[in-house]
Amino acid sequence: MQYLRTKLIIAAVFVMFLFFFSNDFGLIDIEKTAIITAIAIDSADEEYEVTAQIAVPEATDANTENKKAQVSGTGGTIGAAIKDIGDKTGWFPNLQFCNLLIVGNDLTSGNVFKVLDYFSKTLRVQDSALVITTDGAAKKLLEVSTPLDNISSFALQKILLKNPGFDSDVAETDIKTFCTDYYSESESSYMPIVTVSEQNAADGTGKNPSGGSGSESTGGQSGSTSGSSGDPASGNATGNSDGTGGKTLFNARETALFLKGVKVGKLNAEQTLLLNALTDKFRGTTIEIKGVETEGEKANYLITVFRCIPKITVKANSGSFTVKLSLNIYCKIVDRNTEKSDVTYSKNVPLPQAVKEKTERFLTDRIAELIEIERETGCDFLFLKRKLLQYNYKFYPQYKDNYLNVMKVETDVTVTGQK
Amino acid sequence: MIKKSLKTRQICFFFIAFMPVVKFFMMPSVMANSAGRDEWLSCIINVLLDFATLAALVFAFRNVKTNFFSLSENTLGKVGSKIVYALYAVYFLMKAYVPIAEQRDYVELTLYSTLPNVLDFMPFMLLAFYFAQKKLRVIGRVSDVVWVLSASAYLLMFSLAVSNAEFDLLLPVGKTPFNKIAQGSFYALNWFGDAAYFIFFVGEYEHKKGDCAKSVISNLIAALSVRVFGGIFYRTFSSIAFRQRYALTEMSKYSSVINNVGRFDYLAIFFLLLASAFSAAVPLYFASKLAVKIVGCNSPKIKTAVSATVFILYTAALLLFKEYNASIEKFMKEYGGYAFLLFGNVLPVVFAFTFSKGATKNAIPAH
Repeated sequence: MQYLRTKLIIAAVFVMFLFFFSNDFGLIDIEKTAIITAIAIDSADEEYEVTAQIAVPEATDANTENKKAQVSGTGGTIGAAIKDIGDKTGWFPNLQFCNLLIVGNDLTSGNVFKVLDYFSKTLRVQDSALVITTDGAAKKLLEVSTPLDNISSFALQKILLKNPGFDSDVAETDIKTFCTDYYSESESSYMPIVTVSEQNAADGTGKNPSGGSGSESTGGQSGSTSGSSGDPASGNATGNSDGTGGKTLFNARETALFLKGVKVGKLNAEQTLLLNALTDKFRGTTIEIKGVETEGEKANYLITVFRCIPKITVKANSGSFTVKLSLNIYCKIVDRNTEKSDVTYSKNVPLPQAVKEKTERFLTDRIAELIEIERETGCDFLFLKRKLLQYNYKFYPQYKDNYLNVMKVETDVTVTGQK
Repeated sequence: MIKKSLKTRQICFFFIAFMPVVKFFMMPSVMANSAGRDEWLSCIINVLLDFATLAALVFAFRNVKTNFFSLSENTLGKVGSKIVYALYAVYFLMKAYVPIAEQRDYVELTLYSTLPNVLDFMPFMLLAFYFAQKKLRVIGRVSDVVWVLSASAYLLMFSLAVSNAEFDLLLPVGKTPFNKIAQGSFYALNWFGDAAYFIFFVGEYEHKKGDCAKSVISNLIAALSVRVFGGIFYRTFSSIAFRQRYALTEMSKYSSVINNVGRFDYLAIFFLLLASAFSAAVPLYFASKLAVKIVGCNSPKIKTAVSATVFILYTAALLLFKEYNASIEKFMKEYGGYAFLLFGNVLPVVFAFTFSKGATKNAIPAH
């Protein structure tokens, strides 16, 4: 009898646990659930307009394409606008799979933190969701279809999140990082600007209706550019635009800079590349060096970064505040347009001195531009103020308000290859 | 010879399996709210306090063969002992409230999409009640099983999270005013004072040579786990650490492995949730045992009735006070620390050195 009672108790406990952990008590019918994959936020008069891209589950295996729907809601707060979507549709807005937030350009003139704060606090959204902005209305990005994926947010994520070995040419950020940077001593943060341009498939020339950086070739004057044009792995994704029959191209190589949550400037593609080199993992990124004269012949080189050791150090004393930015890059030649060659690139080819010098000059010039932009905008995207606090606490009160004006910058770029 | 309820191994596993996990929810944010980037110093103060308390207990009780209840009655008499039991029962009920409430909120907020039913958390109370009906050896048996899950979960969580943590975010060290660091320690005392459990293990395990070292080392491992978690926590969230109430699910998800493969870290999270359910039930277990001791009846039915009364009243309190959680949490942080320090650290050491003097060599079973 005692044994039977014990078994019953154990069985009852297991049944309760089954209900408990299977979430049966809080079950919502899948047909009444909107699985939101991305959210675009624009301003609408005094309110916010939130547009949700919703993945619609398909009951058939005949159609392999993802189906999507877009629904907008408005409200005085972001939470109210999302609730409005649920009220309008009868769907429960499930944000667990929302991996992308798009902030409309009109909201960036004010403090975007008001918009992002909801997502950083609620447990309904993963705060590892990517945050981007655009040069127009945010919802326009969700309306685009690409052959990469019918759901534009999935295509966007492909160019924003790179696997190791791809070019680090997008200064991607997520909700958590944006918020920690906002609350840091530097009060500065950044996010990619994604622009859409139409491109003629036949001749490959792009026109960018937004006037943004949809062009595939960057930095031609300096003889350097990053990545391969039109390659989704290098910050661009091409695809069919809804209703136009043409092709669209996403470009996420530019970066918007924020000071105290307000957009104060932007970095172009080359500057973004250097920001990543100085702050991110740069390994695997390719750099194209054009017009290098070696052995009496002008050639273009494509080199891959195999090792990148960035270092930003700040040193302060009562008389000066010095910032030293150093970059140590080891790279290999991947390609060269030459008339004749006696080596294969499977071998280790020594890096010609001219290529090394031109690469160093390119990197040094871009670093100087980054410093100049820090000074002009006040956006401390290199987090020099935070480093001042961390490593020179004694002099923090002396320089915390004027560090951008008084700092002396030293740059040390070293490019090496096979020797 | 009376068979002992516990083995030293099980006590060691108890500290490793249950003590750190309950500190992985809200506690790091409570410390960060007061001490900022020096929250790890607040944590170290509490960890050392518990470590020193346990070391003192293990040392003082090293030759004692009698259990806590006999020791208490020998020294304080029956009435005095019942007062101590009553005070400790209240202490354990107090100690359990915030961890249970935070775990309930965590489960409701993360596992339920819409408004959860008030009864959704009740299976926990059923489990805790069932747990409390068992003799002390149940703690040893559960520890034997759960420590593997806890230890593997710590390893998985930490190894995923550490790659995304920026270590220089802890700099400059010690620049937060000491009163803020001390406040962080004081506010978090609700989650510490674990050495107090050891007084109920005294005389319940066969003490052999080297057991002191084993107990202290296991406590050190538990303390290090808490410290490592707290350190990675601040390095992950830095300036927004103060508002990350549910750090458990947040720590590991920024790893590039998780981005590419998916949330397999939920396996570790569920292991830790399982361990934390038992961990939150431990204070209720001892509160129930103490209530039974106060009533002082040997009838199994009356024992069960007393325990059931404790659990019914506590469940009712959890439901009734749900709307006052913010105030209760504030009270526990700002004022509860005095009680947690007294009952969790001071009195156990006082008991250890006073009770052990009059300890007899004959064990009297407690349960």
